[in-house]
Amino acid sequence: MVEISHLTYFYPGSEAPALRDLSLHLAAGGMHLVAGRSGSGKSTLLRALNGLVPRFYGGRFGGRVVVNGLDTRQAEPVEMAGQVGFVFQEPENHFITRNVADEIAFGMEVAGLSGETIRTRVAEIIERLELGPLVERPLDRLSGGEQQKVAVAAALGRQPPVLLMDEPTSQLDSQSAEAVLEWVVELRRELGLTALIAEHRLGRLVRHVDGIIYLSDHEADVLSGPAGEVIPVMPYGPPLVEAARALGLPPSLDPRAAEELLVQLELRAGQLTMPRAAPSGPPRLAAEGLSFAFNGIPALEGVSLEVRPGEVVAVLGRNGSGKTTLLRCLMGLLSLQAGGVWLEGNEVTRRPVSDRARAVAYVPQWPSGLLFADSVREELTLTLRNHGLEASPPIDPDVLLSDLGLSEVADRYPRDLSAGERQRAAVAAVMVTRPGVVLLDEPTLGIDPLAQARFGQLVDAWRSQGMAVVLATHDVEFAAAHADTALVLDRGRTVASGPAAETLFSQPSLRTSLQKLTGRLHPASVAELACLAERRFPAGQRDV
Amino acid sequence: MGETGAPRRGARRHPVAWMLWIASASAVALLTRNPWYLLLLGGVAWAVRWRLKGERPSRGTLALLLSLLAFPALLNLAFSRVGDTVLLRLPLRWIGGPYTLEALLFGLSAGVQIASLLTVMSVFGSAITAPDLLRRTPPGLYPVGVSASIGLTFAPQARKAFAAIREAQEVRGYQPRGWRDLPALVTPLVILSLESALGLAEGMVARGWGRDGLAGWRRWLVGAGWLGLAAGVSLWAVDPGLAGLALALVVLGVLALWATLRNEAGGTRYRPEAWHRGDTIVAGLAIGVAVTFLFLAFAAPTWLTYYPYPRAAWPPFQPALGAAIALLGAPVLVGDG
Repeated sequence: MVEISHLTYFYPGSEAPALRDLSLHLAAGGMHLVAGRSGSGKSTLLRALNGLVPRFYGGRFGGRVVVNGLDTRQAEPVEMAGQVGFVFQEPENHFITRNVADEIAFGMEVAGLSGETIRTRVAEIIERLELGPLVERPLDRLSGGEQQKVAVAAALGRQPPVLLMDEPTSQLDSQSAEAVLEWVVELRRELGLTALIAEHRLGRLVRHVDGIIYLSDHEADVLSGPAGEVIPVMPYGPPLVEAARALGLPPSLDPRAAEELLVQLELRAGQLTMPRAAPSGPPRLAAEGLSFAFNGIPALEGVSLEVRPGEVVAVLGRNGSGKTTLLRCLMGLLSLQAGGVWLEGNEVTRRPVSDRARAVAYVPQWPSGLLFADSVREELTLTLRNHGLEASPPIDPDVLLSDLGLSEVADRYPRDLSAGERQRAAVAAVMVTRPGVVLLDEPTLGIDPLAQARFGQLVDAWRSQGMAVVLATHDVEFAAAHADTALVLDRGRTVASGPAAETLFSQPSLRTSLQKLTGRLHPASVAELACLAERRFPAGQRDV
Repeated sequence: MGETGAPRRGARRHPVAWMLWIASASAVALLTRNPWYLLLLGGVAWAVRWRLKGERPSRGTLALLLSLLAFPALLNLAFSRVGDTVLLRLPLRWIGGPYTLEALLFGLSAGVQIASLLTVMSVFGSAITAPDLLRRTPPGLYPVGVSASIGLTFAPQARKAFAAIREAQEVRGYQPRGWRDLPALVTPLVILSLESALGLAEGMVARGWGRDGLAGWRRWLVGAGWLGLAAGVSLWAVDPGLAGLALALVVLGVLALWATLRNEAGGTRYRPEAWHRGDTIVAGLAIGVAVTFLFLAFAAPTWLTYYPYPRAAWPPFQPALGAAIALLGAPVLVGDG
């Protein structure tokens, strides 16, 4: 079905290959996970499979790619489109029509399916992915996750023999992600669909896939094979594998390994609890009764929130529940219909964004939107200049760049960096004024687990420095590992709030992998487990 | 991506009816320089757009239109020294001399023409979607369809990119300073708009847009057909004396296209497009107005022109022509049926 022989590819003007001498054979009807660090070539590999690389991008291409009998060197991408469906990582830029139903139908119209078939499939897709309330909504009024669902729906509607998905669930809540994956599995069973899915979140995918293709940083190294063989040699794995590693157990996907992990956790149940001391004192940022509506449709209704110095608050909820809207209201980017925002006890509800920006740092969902200078270093200078702090910066920009691991790319064009580097560049650009409050929208979106762990350490460091952090995320593992408090939104209203582990545990759909495995509150995250295991059982003394 | 939501009254017009309306209104805007007709046309287009989108034009749009009126007027006033009615005389070396009322009026009439045309084009952007154009792109002209779609989505995308950049700047502590912000906005605006355009083109290719099933000699013949058609029309426009050769090229082009595309099936639709009585009214009136103005452009061009030199005078106004332009307001009055 998919035959890749000695594929090497250089983007135009690039001296380093994005893919080097890659050879793979994937049988028809298989489902494969493409894993690798940010910038390892996952998206490039997927684009090579539908001919966009090199036909759309140019560059130097060596080797051969054959998909369903079509050689990408001979077949044009539009011919490949009949065989290969594609879900892009950032769907918003790739939408063609204006609303949800038309977007889902477009590919089927192009394929020449009958009107009746198109209408039947669109109705089925809308029901299956719970898109009913959005069906006539303009695409640019949807949340990131809702847009991603539409992109997946648009690709699946045509039911192509091969489906390529570039991080299709990265912005989806767990229920939506499960719905998408179950559907792919069903299409595979019914139609023999072959799927390649590039994803960073391994946990929800490994049980569905036949194999993993791990693109290593070490150019020519590509690990390929069954998940059980590849995951143990990867530098990161799904949460339960990482939990086993934390307890000194062999990293394995074998069900017996999970049982052994459970036994070990049960044995240590009394010891594996580390309640975090709740920060006290007056809130640094407080919001009371926030309400906001888009064109009369309520997006936020009476939401309140407090975050204290040294506290990390996670905002969770399904796609379109109002997480991003809440952060934007806190930053002053949206005009509130009701409610107020207080910073250090002073009301700032009517203060302009540029005034708040000195004390509140905001990193949006796609941090590229914040970056428009010629170099990473210039981004920091720009912020300092805007605040009149260029002569006496609160933090030395070079030190900040070094702390964030950006020294080597300080003079590079920010939008050319990898996803993780771009995110850290955006963080550097807003943190250089040393603000007291940090608002992060989906901070783990599009970055690999090692970069996520590094970013988590940064959040922990901010906490210890007394910063107040609010992060909106779908990533319950990240929230459990780094947040003190959690706030759960549903259709713009608060449905739960309190200590992070308890709040996540109280919502079955938000439980972490360890909470699901043990049925207990703690340990809620691998980070917590590792910390406790290290404390209770110093290295070399673990009873495995 | 433009706004849609629930379609407004009148927005359900058939795309072909809208295309005819836009073609007619554009023809009027290009054929006349008379400020009365242009102002009337601009007003009609404004009302149609308002009805279509269901929201009043923003302050930004008003400011843009006013600046489009003012800029050519001031530019012509500053650089043209022709005209009898001197408003001001500056004893300066480079920019000195007589500043005339006629120069101001001539520039102003150019501004009214540009603003009217832009208002008509804004109706185009609101009424026609990229898929409307794509579905009507003939085989062999798919790159043109992609370009047209990018062109159609460019303005809304640029507006979104502009808002995103302003927001990012504010988040970074930047305080808007009006026109002085322009240089800092242009580069990221161009980059973001290009990224959007590339994303759209990539999305279209990845989803099979442009797959016409033509291969080998048929593809070449379709290309030759369109080329012959374009060459024939261009030749006739450039040199009417070569009408015979032009006609031959057009005929050959049409024959090549007919031979290649006669068996090509039309595309399918998720939402079938129905033609209603209201579409007939809008399309019929649009064709009538366009034919009237085209006829006058050849038969009585003085009815349409306005030339204030050498001495300014009020532009003439023919009530019948004013009424004809008012008929372009049909989309405001005709219901969805």
